[in-house]
Amino acid sequence: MRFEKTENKFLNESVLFGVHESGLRVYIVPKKGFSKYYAIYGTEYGSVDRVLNLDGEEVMLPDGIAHFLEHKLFEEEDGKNAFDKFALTGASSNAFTSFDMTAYLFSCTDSFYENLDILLEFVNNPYFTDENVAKEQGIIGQEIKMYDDDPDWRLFFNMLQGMYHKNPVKTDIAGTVESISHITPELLYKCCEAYYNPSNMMLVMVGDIDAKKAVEYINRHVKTDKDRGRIEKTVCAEPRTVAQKIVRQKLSVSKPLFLMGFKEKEEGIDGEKLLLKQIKTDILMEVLFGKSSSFFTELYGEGLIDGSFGKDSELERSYGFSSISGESSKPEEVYKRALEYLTEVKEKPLDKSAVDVAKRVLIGRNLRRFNSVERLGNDFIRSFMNNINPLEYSEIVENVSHQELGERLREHFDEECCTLSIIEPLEESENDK
Amino acid sequence: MKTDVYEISKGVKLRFIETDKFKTNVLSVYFCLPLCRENVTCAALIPRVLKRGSVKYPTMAQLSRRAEELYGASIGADILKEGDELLIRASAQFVSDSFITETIIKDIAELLYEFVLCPITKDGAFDKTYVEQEKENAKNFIKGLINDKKEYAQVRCNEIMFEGDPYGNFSYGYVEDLECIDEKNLYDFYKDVIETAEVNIFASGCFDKDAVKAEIEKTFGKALSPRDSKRTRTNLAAFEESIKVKEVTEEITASQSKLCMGFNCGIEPASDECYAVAVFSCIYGGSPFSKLFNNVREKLSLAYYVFSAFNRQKSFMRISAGVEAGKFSAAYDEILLQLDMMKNGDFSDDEIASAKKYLKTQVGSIKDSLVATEDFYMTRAMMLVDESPDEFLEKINKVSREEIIAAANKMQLDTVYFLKGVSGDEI
Repeated sequence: MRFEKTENKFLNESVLFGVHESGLRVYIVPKKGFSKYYAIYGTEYGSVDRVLNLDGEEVMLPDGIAHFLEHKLFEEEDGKNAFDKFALTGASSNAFTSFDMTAYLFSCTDSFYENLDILLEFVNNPYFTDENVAKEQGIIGQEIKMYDDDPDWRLFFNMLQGMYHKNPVKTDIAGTVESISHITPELLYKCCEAYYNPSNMMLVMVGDIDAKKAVEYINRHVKTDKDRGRIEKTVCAEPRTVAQKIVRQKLSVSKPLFLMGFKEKEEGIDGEKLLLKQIKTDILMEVLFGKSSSFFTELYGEGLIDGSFGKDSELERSYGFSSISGESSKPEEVYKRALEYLTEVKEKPLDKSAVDVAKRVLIGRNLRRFNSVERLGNDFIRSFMNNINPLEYSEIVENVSHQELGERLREHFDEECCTLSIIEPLEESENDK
Repeated sequence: MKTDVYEISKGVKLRFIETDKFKTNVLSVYFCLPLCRENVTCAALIPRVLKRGSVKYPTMAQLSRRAEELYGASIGADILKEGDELLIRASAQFVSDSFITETIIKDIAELLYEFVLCPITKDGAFDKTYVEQEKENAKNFIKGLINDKKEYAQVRCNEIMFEGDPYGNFSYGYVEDLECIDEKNLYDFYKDVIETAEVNIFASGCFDKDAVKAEIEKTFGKALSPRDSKRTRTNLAAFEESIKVKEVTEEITASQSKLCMGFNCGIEPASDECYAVAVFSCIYGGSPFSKLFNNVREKLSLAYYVFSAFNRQKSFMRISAGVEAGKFSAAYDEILLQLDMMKNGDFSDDEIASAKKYLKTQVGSIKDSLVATEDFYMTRAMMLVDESPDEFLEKINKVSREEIIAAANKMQLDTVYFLKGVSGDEI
C-alpha cells in the first residue's frame, strides 16, 4: 500500500493518504511531541441513510438504526465488550453517530497498534442476537428520553423539522422508542454488510505513527472480499423554502431559548467548492454576528440577548444551514431585528476592515485545531469524507474576495429559507416582563 | 515541558510553563479569595462587568474587536471553586507568533492588563448601566441552572451535603443577593480583591520568556502592590460518627430522573492516600469500564449514565446517575452494593492495572492541553502540593490493592438527592 504526502510548510503540518487494496481510505496525520495517539474509523453512514439497497433489494430502515448499530457493535461474541479490551491497554474509546457518519475512536498513550487491532477487529466483527438487541432497546430508550428533556437538543431538532420538507436530517438521530422497536439482528447485519464495507469507510490516525506497521493490522482485519464500493448518497430534491417559519415547544427552562437558521439551497456539492462555501459563510457569520458586530453589541446593550448568544454554520454534502442562537425573553423580537438587519446589510457594501478582522479570527481558529490530536482526527475525517483537503484552509481564507462574500451574503440569508425555533418556559414566570 | 516560578511582588507569583508543541499560548491571572456567601455573588459579577469595557477600549465592541484583530484571541474571565476558596481567573488564549507573520504576545499581555486592571470607572465606581445589565444577566444565568437537569441535581446535592459549610455556596451567586449590589460597592469589592488577594500569573506555551517576564513586570508587576497572602484552610468533608444520611427528593417536569449521592472521604489533599482514592474511583465509577458503568448501566439497564468523581481539595466523592423514576431504588441499591464489593476487595488485578493505565491516558490528556496543564499546576499551587503530571503518575503506579481497599472504606454516604421527573400534569 502506497501513501502520498500533502504538506503545509508554514504550519509545519502534513497528511499521508493511501487506499488499501480492500478499498479502505487511510489517512495518517503525523504529530510528534504529543503524549497521545488517536485513531478514528468511520463509515459514511448516518441517520440520513434510510433506504438500504442490497443486491437490488430495497429495504426501508427504521429511524435510529445507524445509532443503534453503533451501540451494538461494541458487544462481542465472547460476551465481552470492546470497551473492556481498550480498558486493558488504558485507551479511552468512544463512538458517535451523526447525520451522515458513524465513527469509532480511541485515544491512548501506549500500545497504539494493540488498540488499533482492537478497533479494527470489533468494528469488522458484528455480533447481534435477539437477546442483546432487546437489551439495547432498553438502554437507548433511556437515552432518547434524556434527549427529550434536553432543551438545546429539542431546540435544534425543532429547527430542522421546521426547515426541511423531505430531507431526513430532520429526524432525530436516535429515532424514537417506537421506531427502534422494529430493529432486528437481521436488519443490523444487512446494514453492516452494505455500509460497513471498506470502500465506504475511512481510517484516520494521528500521532507519531509507523505507516507500515499500521498497514499490517489493516491487512489482518479489513477483508478485500467485502468490498461493495462507496455507497451513493441519495439527493432528496429538497424544496428551497422552509416547511415552517416558526416552531415552538414548551419545556422546563427558565427563559426562552431561540435558534434561528438559514437553510442552504444547494445540495450535493463537495471538495474545494464546499470548503470555499463553508469559509465564505464563516467569514460572513463572523462579520454579521461576531462579538464586535453592531448586531451583537446593540441587542446586548438593549438586553435582548446575553452572553449565551452564539453563531454557527454547518454545511455538508447532504444538508446545510447557518444559525444564530441564545436565550432571550423576546425571541420574536430578536428574529425580527435579525431579518431587518440582514435586509439592511445586504444593501450596503461589506465593511472591508471587518472582513479582514474576520479572516484573522478564522486563521487563528484553524491553528487551534492542531493543538489536539482528537480534534484534528475528528475535524479531518469530516473534511476527508467531504473530499476536502483541510491543509488548504488558511490559504483559501486569505484569498476569498470581497465580491464573492457579497454574493454569498445576498444569496444565503433569505427570509423564505429561515426557520425560528423557540423553547418556551412551561409557565409564565412573573419575572419575565 | 519546563516550569519556573518568580515572585514579581510579594504575594504575586509569575509561573512559566514552557513547551513548543502547541500552536497557541495561554496567559492567565488568578485572584484567590475565601469562598463565602458575602463573596460569591460579587465575584461572579466581575467577569461579566470586565468584558463590558476598559479605559482604552471603552465598549464591548472595541474590546472584542481588539481581541479579534489579534487573530481571534479569546479573552475572558470566570470563577473557579477550589476547596473553600474562590478563584477569579482572567485568561487569554492566542496564537503563537511562529505561525503568523507578526509578533502579538506583547499586545496580548497589554490587552489582558487592560481587561483586568483598567476597567471603565467613574467617580470611584463601575459604570452603572453595565452593572445593572450584568446583574440582570447574572440573575437569568442563575435561574437558568434548571435548564440542565444533570448539573442542577449536582448543585442541589452539593447544597444539601454542605449546608452551613462554605463549600455549600453556589459559585455563581444568589439572585436575592444581587439586589444589594451596585456599581459602587461592587467596585469597592473588586478594588479590595486587586489590592489584597493572592495573585498567580501563568504564561504557558512557546515565546521569548525574558521579553514576556519584562512585559508582565512592567504591567501587572507595577500595578499589583505587595500583599500578605491570606489563604483559607479548607474544611474537609470528614467522616462523621453515627451519621444520619440526608435524603431529599424533589420533583421536576421531565421524563428522566437524576440521582446524586455525596460521600465524605476525609483525606488530606497533600497525603498519599489521595492517589489510592484516584485509583479506587476509577475502578468504581470513574471510567468507561468501571463497576458502576458495567453493572448499573450495561448489565442491569438501570441508568443511562452513571459515574463517580472524587474532589481532592474538599475530599468528597459524588455519584451522578440518570435513571427512570421507577428504577430509583434498584439503581441506589446496586450503586451501594458495588461500593461494598470495593470495600471487601472484590475487584481484580486486571481492574487495578486498567485503572492505572486509564489514569496514564488521562494524564496524557492533561499534558496534551495547555489549558489543562495550567489548571493542573494551579490546583497544585492551591493545595501546596509540588508535583508534575509525571510525578502524579509515578505515585499512582505505586498504589497497592490494600491501599485501594482502605480508600474504599473511607467512603461514607452523607447525602442522597433524587430529582424525580414527573410529567407536566402530575405537578
